[in-house]
Amino acid sequence: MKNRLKVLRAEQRWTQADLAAKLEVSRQTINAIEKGKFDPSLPLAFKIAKLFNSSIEDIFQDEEA
Amino acid sequence: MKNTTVNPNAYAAREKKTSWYAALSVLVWAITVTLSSAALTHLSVPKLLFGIFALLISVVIGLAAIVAYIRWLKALDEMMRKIWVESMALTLGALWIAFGALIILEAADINYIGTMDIGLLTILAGLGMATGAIRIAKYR
Repeated sequence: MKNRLKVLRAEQRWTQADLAAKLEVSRQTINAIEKGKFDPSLPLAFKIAKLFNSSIEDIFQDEEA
Repeated sequence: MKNTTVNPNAYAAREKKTSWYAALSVLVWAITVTLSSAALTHLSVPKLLFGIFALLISVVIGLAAIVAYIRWLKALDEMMRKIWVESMALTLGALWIAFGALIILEAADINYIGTMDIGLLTILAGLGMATGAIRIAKYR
């Protein structure tokens, strides 16, 4: 699954550690999501979307779509 | 942008605290088992009484270690939990295979289970857990 997390984070000038603290996850998890190595659960995806005032679909896109 | 006010180290602090308890409980359990075994082997203590006492202590500490590990897993975020649960499954599988092999070798009079074999099981458990650490290191 592709995502715009890195771009959105950069727009806010947040480091991975900053975003991890806001989402209460590890920095490694943020890194893995940004690289597309790990797909977050629905609750975490909602939390990310809420943090960036976006919808889940705006941040995460199915690669097959 | 919504300004979120969160404790910047909440996750890290929770993870550190629970992992410390988990590691400490396993260390205490290992020391208890080692000292109990050494005392039963090398000291002139009443074996039955001391053996039952040592067994009870090790079981109680072992149960505390299980609770500490469950709390640690619950404190982890979803990716970390997935990685560590998979590593624990690998560890469990490796231990089953090794333990089964030792029982067969014992029954066939090829190898007699001794202290070295127990050490081998510990090393296998350590290797299983090391795979989790290696997988997490990829995302540093």
